[in-house]
Amino acid sequence: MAMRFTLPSIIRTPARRSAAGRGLPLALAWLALVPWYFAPAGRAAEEAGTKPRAAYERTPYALPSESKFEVSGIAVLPDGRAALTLRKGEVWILENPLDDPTRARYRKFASGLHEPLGLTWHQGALYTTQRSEVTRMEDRDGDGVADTYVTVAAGWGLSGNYHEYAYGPVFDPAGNLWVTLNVTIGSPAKLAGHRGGTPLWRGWAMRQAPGGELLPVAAGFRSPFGLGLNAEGDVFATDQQGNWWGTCPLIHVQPGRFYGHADSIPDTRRPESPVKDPGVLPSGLTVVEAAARIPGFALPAVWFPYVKMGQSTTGIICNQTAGAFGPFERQLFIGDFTLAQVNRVFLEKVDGEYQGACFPFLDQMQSAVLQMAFLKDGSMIVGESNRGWNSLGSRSFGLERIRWTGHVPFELQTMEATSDGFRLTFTEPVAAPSSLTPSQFKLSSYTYLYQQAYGSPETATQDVAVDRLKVSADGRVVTLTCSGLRAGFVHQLVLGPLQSASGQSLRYDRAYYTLNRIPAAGR
Amino acid sequence: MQTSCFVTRPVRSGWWLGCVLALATGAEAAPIVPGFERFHRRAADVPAQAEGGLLLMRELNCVACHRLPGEAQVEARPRLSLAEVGSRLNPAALAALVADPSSFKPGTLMPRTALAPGQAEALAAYLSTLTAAEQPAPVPPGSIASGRALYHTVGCVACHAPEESARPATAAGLAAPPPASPSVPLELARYYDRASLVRFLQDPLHTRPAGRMPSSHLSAQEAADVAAYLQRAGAPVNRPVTVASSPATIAEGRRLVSTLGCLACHTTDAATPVPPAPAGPALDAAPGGAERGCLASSPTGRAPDFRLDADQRRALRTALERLRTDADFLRPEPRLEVARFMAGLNCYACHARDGRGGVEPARAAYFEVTDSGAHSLGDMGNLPPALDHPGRKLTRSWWQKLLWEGGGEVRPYQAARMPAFGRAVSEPVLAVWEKADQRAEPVAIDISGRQLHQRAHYGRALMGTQDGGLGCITCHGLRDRKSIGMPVVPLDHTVERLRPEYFKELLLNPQAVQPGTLMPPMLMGRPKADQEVEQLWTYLREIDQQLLPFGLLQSGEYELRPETGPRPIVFRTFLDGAGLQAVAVGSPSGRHAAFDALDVRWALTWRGRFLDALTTWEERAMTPARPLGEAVTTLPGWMPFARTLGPAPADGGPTGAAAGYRYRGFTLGPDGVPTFHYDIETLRVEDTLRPDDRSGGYRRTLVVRGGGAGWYFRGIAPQASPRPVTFDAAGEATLEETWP
Repeated sequence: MAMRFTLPSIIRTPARRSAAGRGLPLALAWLALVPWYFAPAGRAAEEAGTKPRAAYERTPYALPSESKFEVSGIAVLPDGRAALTLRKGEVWILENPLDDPTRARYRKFASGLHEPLGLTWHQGALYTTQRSEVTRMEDRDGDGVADTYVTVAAGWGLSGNYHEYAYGPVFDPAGNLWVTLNVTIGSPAKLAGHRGGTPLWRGWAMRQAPGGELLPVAAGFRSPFGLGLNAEGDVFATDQQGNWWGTCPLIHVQPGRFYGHADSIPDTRRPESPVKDPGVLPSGLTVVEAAARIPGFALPAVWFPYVKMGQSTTGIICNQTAGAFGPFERQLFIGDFTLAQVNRVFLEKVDGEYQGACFPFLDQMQSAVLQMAFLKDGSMIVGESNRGWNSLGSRSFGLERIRWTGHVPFELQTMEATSDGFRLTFTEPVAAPSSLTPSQFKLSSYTYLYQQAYGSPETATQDVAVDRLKVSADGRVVTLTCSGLRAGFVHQLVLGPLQSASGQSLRYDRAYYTLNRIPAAGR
Repeated sequence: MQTSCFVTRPVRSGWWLGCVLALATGAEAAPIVPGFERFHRRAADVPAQAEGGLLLMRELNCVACHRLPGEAQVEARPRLSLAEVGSRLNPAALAALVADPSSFKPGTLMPRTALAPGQAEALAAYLSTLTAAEQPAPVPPGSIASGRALYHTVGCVACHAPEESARPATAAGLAAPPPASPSVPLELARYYDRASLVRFLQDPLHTRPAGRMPSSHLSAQEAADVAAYLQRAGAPVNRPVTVASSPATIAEGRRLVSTLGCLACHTTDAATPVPPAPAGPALDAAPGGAERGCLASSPTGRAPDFRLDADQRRALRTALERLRTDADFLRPEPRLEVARFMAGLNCYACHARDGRGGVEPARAAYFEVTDSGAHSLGDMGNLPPALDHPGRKLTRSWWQKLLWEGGGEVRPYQAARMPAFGRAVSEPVLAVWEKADQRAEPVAIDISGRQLHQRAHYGRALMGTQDGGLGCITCHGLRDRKSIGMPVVPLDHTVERLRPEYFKELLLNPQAVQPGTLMPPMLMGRPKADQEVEQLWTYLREIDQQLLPFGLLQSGEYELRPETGPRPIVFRTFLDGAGLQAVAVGSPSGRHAAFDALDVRWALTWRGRFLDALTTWEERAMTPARPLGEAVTTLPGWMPFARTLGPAPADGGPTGAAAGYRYRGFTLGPDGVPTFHYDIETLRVEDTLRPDDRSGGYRRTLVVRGGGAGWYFRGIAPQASPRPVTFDAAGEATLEETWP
């Protein structure tokens, strides 16, 4: 299996065997037996026994047989083609991403990279992050294959430990390059005849201004796979439940902040660190208490309740497709590795800080979701690989496309905080607004422990009383007035059986709002 | 083995002589229903006789004309197509066949209908007009020898008579008793048009959708070979028959097809619909009726004559009596219903179930293995499997492949093929199989893939032969790999083929689930057996995208082989001797090197084999790669540029960023050779190492720009000594060194 630089430039691939196989239906049958999983994932329509018209359809791309398509990064080129990084160290170009996925054509663009885990197109070139550097790849002689591998950012430490993944890059609107770095977990590599490396800036987000040096920005990450921008150009990262992370977060990455993972603390004592040393970490706290007591400690914008909203958040992509991807414009879509699904996030700013809600979006992907991107037609392309861990689905890796069918599903479009409750906007008017009662809106709140142990149960759970509700004249907005809201807590909303005016059932009946701040009255 | 009737039985010398004799003498030949012959002909007890009678009733298609006593009925057999019969048989053969079917084709299930003079000829005239609408594609010429070999190995001899002389060499020295059950005669094949026979053999279900002659998935060439073999004796001499094919005769023949009841069992598919045959009398008449009509010892009048012998008539009468008295006779328990299905389609010719059936010893000698390793499997190697619990074993989609779609065979070491019986007869019974084979206590298995232990790579480790693996691959192959030991079912299609519950049941206790299996109880008694079963399932579900297990994976499969291509391979990895930011450069010349992008210097050269990418591409732990070749040389640790001329520091001194160097990346030249770029203070350096064909060693070229006085270059060649860096008018300095 020799790796060659000169491969046929166009490879036609036969369609693979059916992705569904037997595994998936049975897997789901099993899930149905596990109420704590199935119920929270909440497919209200199925429970109600009606099958709504599909709003989104998913098609796997046929893959070339030459390489394992463990797709770890996607960049859509200005001409509409999709460039893909593979974990084994290659970059391929999907020539016709908008055509029938079973007739996908690919060509290899670059190879020999060291586990690239992100890809972006910036100012006429492709950028990827390898284990040890950010690399710009160029094709200067125009033969369609990269011949220039420029190291544009480097300097973080590497001990050779397997967990030292590096992600990105993304460029913010100011042209700053961002990467995120995993913490080291376990021992360094043993290298015969060579000195080992030392970890540096592990668990940090790094930023490099145009023409500048790569510098640390924020600390406390564990495994921040996802790195992306929202519509405003602010930088967000996802991380993984594990030690110091009670569940998976979506973090607005801001200079000087400490997000919680302790392994990054020693580097806060370096002179370049913009993060103040948080000192000795107290124990036995919830994350809400930690945010109050630990200097510099910042809460994520959104928590993804474990299992209910995935188990391992990955890529971030913002929907700016001008409606081509359905009624969720300017919202974020977040991948999940273990549950092979894509989730959705609505963000708003309260007192200048992002917070918001997450919603299920699409499950039953064929393998662990790593990265997503929007194609020219507003459909989403999804790269997958579950090597090293495990995931739902029937495939080890792959590439899929998600298209909006044009049918507007009935679901929560946004969930906003008010001073005394929440404002829910649906994608369609609700049926019989006058008959809605507060009992159809079940709210509870909980938080997580801040601890070195893996994960955290939902902690300090309380019901939140919905005292009354008001429906807007157009039937699309339901405003809940509640008592017992708690700042810092995740507020879980479960909708009772609801129908839209057009007769649709809810596609999903759950939402989880991370209420870091309760807005002042008058909002 | 002797019975009262004369049928074509294989005798030790020239079985088909019997056919000729039968034809010549017009001897009585009772219909041959293999299941009846094998299990019911000599049944002494009444229940077994009744079962035998019911089997005859189904196979002779009594319900096509008669209503059975009681409410429950059996389905009529799908009708045999006469659509192109005029292409298959000539008028003379057709006339002879319709005049006296069992004389023409001994053992046939087709009854004789009393014909008036001229009616056989009229029927033949009409049937001769039923020809293929389009000129069929030509068929290839066949080889008798190949056809003989195919006929005796793909499974034909499970039902049809084998030739003793064709016994495989492995069985040649053994006694060769004739099969205990009569074979289904092949007499008609001799009369077939050759091309029609080829097409029939390729797709018998097209003409005969009842599936009693299943499709053995013969290719066109194979079918031509078998046809050549079946017609090896040459065309038979037809009895002279004058068939006048005037329009009136043809019209009369067409009328007769309709009025004589032919359409009870046949379809003509002709453009003009022919009225259906009148139904015969209901069978729930008075008990005495069982001696009359078809069941009379010599049927007379319009009653069709099946040439039933005494055993068959007795069995039919017993079954009729049972039908009258037992309302549940046609509402059997699922296991009995399965047994009836298997008897009708003669599944028992190959498969045993509940202690009944399986390949008869005399026929088993013809079942061969195609992989000599399978001899050590004993009977499991060459004989089709027993059908212990297929109803809970196989998925619906796999049944479908096996019974009508094809592609469901999983024993590549067996010569015999699992034939397709067609959807029409197979599909209705699948739900019955499932019920019949249900386990009293269901097995629970979690195949969600979302439990921490359900990782494909754990399953892979279990499959393999290292690190506590169970060594499944000792016997089971995967993908393009044979097992490392005896060959049994390859596991590629496990998750499409097996129900997960059965997979678990089998793995936890193979002998209990498949009595006689050679599979060892590898998981029995292991504390985490449940989890391990799920790990194996997860791995097999993703098998086509997964790394092969230890043992099947050949060392070197991931080896990068620059010698096979014109351009070097540039490969970033953790590399012994070159660090965590190594860029290895494999040259087609076999002279390789690695640049350390952290230290910003050439670190290593070696010759011969380059690197194995396995750990870099597949391992989560990402164990550093190491040079595979010889003459692995660690290059001097000093940096290339210095401001002073002093001796090189013993430990190489500071490197990389600590020495003020900044790595910038690399560019590939037109020949694919990388040039490394780095800076030190004001110097911008391009550093290229390539094989030097003149010396058989290496040539290193550095182009330095940026100017600045007082720089020295210290090379890595063994005899290198520092030399000053002198810039030319263009501001460039070019430095070269070669070695070994």
